[in-house]
Amino acid sequence: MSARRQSQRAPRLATLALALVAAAGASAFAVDPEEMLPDMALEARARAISAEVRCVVCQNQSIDDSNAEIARDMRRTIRERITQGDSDSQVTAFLRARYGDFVLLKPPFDFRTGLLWLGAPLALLLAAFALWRGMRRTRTRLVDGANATDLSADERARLDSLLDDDREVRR
Amino acid sequence: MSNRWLYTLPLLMLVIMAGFFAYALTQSRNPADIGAPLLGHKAPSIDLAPLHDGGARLATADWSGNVTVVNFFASWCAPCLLEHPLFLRLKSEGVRLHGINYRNKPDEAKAWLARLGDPYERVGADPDGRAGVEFGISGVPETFVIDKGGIVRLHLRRPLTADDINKSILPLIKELSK
Repeated sequence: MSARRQSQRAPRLATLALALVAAAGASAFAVDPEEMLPDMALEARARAISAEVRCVVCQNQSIDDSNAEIARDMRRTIRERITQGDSDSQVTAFLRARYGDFVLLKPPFDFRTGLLWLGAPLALLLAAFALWRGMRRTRTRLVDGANATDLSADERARLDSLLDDDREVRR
Repeated sequence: MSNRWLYTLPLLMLVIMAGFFAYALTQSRNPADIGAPLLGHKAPSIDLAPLHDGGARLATADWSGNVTVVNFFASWCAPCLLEHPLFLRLKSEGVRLHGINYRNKPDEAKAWLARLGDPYERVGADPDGRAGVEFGISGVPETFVIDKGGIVRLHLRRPLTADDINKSILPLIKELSK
């Protein structure tokens, strides 16, 4: 009896696994097999470009992941242009001319985004510099601070007279 | 003692951050705004089959020498219905107006225009959204004003309003037609 139950469970588990794989596959591939290019190298380029192009109606999804119609249209445009011999940067430039920097998932480095890219490393460098200076100052103070041996004769005389004056006053 | 001002640094940073937050929260900055990168650039070249039987093709090349308004629309698009009377008004003002029927069944589009009135001089059919990508649209309706030299002068990524017509489109067309 128990053996039979086991054998029944096995196919059920297999079905579940299959369903899971299918579900994962469905979400991972917005790209329809029929929109793919027969040439594997060109298709790989198209996928790489699509992964960096932001869908214009779904905020933070690449057109490679998006099921939106406009994303599909843009994927088709990318494949058509690649087939016509456009380079990757020409394809991206085509989309950027029409949809702006908005379509680039990686913002370009220019004077407007400079602060964004460099701000954090700059702050880190600044902090490291401040820390280094502080530590150096502390060390100098520990090594030769509060030490009267390297005063010049003039300085010593002046210091003595000041201390004497002070004593006079207190008395 | 010379770097006592350093103690105000955290406060200073807080003030700077608060400034950024205040800017982001109050300037009604819309992160979903794509902007209009085609502004000031040549209108993309398209050549579309007519929607109407026996109509003329809609091609960018035919527009040169005239200020042209181009509107992407579809019968399934509710905001298009909303802005439609305004295009009838533009037509009555003598504006050269063309339509691009975006991702629409021709019969439904024709019925829609027959019911509401057809303000367009020519209507190009864009059944698979190719012209849409060429013009960098993200949905319908979107409207362009293109000058005599074929340069895009206005791009609205939303339905037209009466204000748009009175305050920007008509004055712009007047200016460009000089």
